[in-house]
Formats: sequence, C-alpha cells, structure tokens
Amino acid sequence: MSIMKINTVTKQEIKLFLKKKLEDEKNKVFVYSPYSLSKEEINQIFEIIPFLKVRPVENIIDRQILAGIKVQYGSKILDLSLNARLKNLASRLHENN
Amino acid sequence: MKIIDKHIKEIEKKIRDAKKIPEVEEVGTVHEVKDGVAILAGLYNVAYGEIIEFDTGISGFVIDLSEESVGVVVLGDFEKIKAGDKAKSSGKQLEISVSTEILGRVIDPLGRPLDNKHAYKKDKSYPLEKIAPGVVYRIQVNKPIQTGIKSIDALIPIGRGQRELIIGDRGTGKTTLVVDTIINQKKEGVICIYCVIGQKKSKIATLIELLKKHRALDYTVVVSATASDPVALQYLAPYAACAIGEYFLDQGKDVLVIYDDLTKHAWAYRQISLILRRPAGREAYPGDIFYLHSRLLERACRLADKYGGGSLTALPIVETLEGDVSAYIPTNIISITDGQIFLETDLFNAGLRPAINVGLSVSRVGSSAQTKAMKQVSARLKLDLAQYRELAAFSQFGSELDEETRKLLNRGAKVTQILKQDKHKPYSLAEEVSVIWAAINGYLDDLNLSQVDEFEKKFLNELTSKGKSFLEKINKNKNLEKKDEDELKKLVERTVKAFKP
Repeated sequence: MSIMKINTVTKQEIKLFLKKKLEDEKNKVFVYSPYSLSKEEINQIFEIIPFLKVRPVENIIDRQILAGIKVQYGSKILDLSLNARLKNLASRLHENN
Repeated sequence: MKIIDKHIKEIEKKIRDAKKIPEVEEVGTVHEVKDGVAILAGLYNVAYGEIIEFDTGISGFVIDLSEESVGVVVLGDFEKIKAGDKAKSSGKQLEISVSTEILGRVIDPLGRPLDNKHAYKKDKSYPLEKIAPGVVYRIQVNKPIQTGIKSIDALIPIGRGQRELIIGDRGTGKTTLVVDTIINQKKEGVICIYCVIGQKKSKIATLIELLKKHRALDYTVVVSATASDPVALQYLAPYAACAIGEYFLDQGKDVLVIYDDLTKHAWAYRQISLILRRPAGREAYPGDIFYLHSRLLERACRLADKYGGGSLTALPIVETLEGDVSAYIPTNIISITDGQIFLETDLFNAGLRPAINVGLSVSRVGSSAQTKAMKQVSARLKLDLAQYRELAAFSQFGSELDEETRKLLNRGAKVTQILKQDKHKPYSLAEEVSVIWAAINGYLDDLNLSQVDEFEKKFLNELTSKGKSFLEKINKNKNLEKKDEDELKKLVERTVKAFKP
C-alpha cells in the first residue's frame, strides 16, 4: 500500500475551484414552487425584489409547498408557501391550548 | 354549543391577528449534533446569542460563529434533532418575559412553568445578558439584609446590594442557611429569587414544600435547572434569575438572588466549551470561566435614588471538596464577592450549627450595613469571641489556669453556645439584639453550658409575652437607647430569677 501525496499546487487549485463553486451556489437565487414556473412568472417575482434580478436563478419543484413560492438567497428565505402558513397556524393554536 | 362558539370566535380572532406581512427569515441546516450542541450550515447573518428555532419546535441559541458553520446550544432534548433538520433564526437575543405574576411560581430559565399551572402573564421582556450598571449609578451599601441568623447578622452582616459567598463542603448547611434567609424576608419587603443549578429534583421539591409551609413562596420565584435538565439550561439559569431580579430592581424594589450553586454552573459551562472544542485551561475549564461568574455577580448593586433606588443582593453558593477553598472556582468567586461565609464540616459535626467559622468568614461591607442596635451589641461580642479563640488552645488545662483566663474561656463558651440556632427558626432583629445583649453582659456566665439553650427559650418566651411592646419598639427604631437597655435588664433579670429558684 503506497501513500499518495497530492501535489501542493494541485491541492491549492482544487481548493480554489471548490471555493468558487461554493460562492456561485451562495450567489444563486433558488425559487421553490409546486410546478415549474415560466420565465415571465419568475420575472414578475423579481419586479418586486429588484435586488435579485441580476443573480442566476434556479427553479426547484417541491410539491410539499402546496401553493405559493419560496425565494431563497444565501441563507435568507422568503417563505410565502401555503404549507408554511398552515404550520404557523397549527403551532399558534397548539400553544394557545 | 355556546362553548364551541366561543372557541371558534377565539380561533378566528387569532387568525385575524396573525401578521399578514411575510418576513424574510434566516435559515440553516443541521450538519452535526453533539451532546447538547448542534452545528449548522447557513445562518450567515446571525449574531452571537441569538435564538434559533428548529423546525421540530425546539429552540437554541448561537454560541459559536465560525467561517463556515454556526454552533448552537440546544435548549431542549437534543436527541430529537437529526442531521438535515432545518432551523431558522428568530432575530431576538436571549430574553425572559417577566411580570409581577411571576412571584410564587417555579419556572425554567426560559420562563416556562414547572409547577403545573398556566403560563404567567407577560409584562416586559428582560435580556439574560446585560452589562452591569456603571459606577455612576451606584451608592454605598448601608441597609442590612436581615438573615434572622444571629451569628451572621451580628458578626458577618450582609447589606442590600452586596455579594456574599456561602462556601462549604456538602452537608454543612449552605442551602439551609439561604432558605432561612428567604423565610425571614416575609416582613422585610424583599423579593427573593432562588436559582437552582444542577441540583436534585427531590431537593427542590422539599425546598418548595418548606417555603410553602412558611408562606414564603408568595414573594419568591424559583428558577430551576436540575441535574437532568439540558446543560444549556443549567448554563442559562443564573442569568435568567438575575434578569428577573433586574425587573424588580428597576421598579425600585429590593431583591435577593441566590445561586445554588455556582460550582455546578461552572461544570455545565465547561461541558459546553469542551464540546465546542474551545481550548481547555486549568482543570479543563475554558479561559473565560472567571468572566462567566464576574459578569453575573457584577449585576448585583445598590442603585442611587436618582435611578430608582432599588438593590439586588447576590448570595452565590459554592461547594468545596474536602474544605479546599484554594481550588480554582472557589478562589475565582472569592475574589469577585464582597466577603464569604465559611461553613465547616468539623464545626457541623461538633454540634455548632450554623457551622460558621467566624474567624475565617468576613463581610467586606461590615458594620456599615448594620442597624445601630446591632452595632452596639456586636462590638463586644466580637471582642469576647476573639479573646476566646486566642485562648481556645488553653481550655484543655481546665483548673490549672488563672481566674482571668477562666473567665474569658467561660464567657467565650457561653457566647458560642448562644450563637447556635435551630434551622428554619429565624429571629427578628429585636430578639437577636436582646439575646446577644444578655450574653455579653454576663447573665449566662453563672449557668452551666447545658442550661444555656433552656435559658434562651425561656427568655424568648418572656420577651414575646411580657416584652411585646419592647420588641416592637426595637424592631421599629432599630436603636438601643439607655431606657431600652434598662427595660431589657429588667426582662433578663426576671428570666434569671425564674430560672434559678
């Protein structure tokens, strides 16, 4: 069994590559919807949040949402889904009793 | 039908009152779960100490911020959290809701009730972490906290706004001492907060029953984080107790906060720090173990009248092992507090209870926190005891000593005997002053040591039956004038006569 030594230059390049990929992920805007959205619909969303217009967008389909959309950028999320509102209602009623 | 209608109306009202504006939330995902701590990715914009809510309903707070991850201490059952769970930030720092309804309740450090009653109403939210009041806001401590225990009120007086450490081995009477102090605050208007850290649940149950029996629970709050509670709650408990105290302090009231005990608090913090891989120092404690306690105890203060005039007195308890007061945590807290009360096992086993070592105990506030009446009697008391301690070694020689030495030894022994006290029987100021006055003026010198107890009981009976107005006068004026001394002399002499027919 031989121990494989990674070339330091290769190691650095891999590190930079992975870091750039992470940055790209962080910079992306994720839009979660129950069905796939057309370009016009996505543009309508970004009319209201002009900050996000210039970022790359990825539309992810999640049937769990029931209705509405979730917009995520980095670690911030704007949750307008019906699922979340029902959960919120359930927890508020629960704590009342 | 009507009850259902009422419920439906309430639910409709709740739905209408719900916030319509959607908010942007800060989210993260759990990557690792360690013993009491969860490491999350995401949450790029959280601050230190912010409350995080896991989607399982458990909450936690941020304790570690690194480049790629956030360390969150879980305030609940961490076993229910798995990797991949989502969590979001609440945007709030750690706080506890308080109101006057909190008095008489037993709660956990997050304000949740533990006494099977409904949640108390919320008036304000007080932050758990707060910078202590600055120098300008404080004035000198000169009003006493009457503990009802003769040896403390006479020799190691505690003032309102002071920090006095109670230190001793296990089973020396530390908790009993503080419980007696709480019981004695009934007529003093002092609000008591008893903070339990890492103790047994059975002990708390007995304690609450005891407070109920003496009707002391009406002005006391018990903040409980017992040994089986999550370590994060044990870490937060003293800060929660202090925050509750500050609510009443800001209303100009006098507050007494008891931390039982800070040794277990240091253990809880050590556990969290080691899990977070923080560098371990002496005895594996983290580097900021001093700051942990100093920032807590510095919040005890006496505010100037301009800023409300309230006071917050702290009585931290530290348990030593084999009487070692030079261990790490005891020495830390001794250097923070304004004095300490040493309780020794040897004295306890020899029957001297409360087992206070008067020679080593000190109160750095001292006589400026004593009433005039007490000051008059305690000066001679201290002298008698000091002389007795010096000659204590010679007491073995018995009859071979000269008259003078024998007198001093006799007086010292009687005075030591009179300072003994049964538990859960606090004395009022007037009773303390009267009993000590009788001792230092030689009325016990002719009695046998075994008769002193009986004499004290008879004397107290005499005071409460025939000297009632006298007691009320001393309790009100807190001063012992010449005519008071004459009246006291009459009462003592009557007891002496009835004692030796």
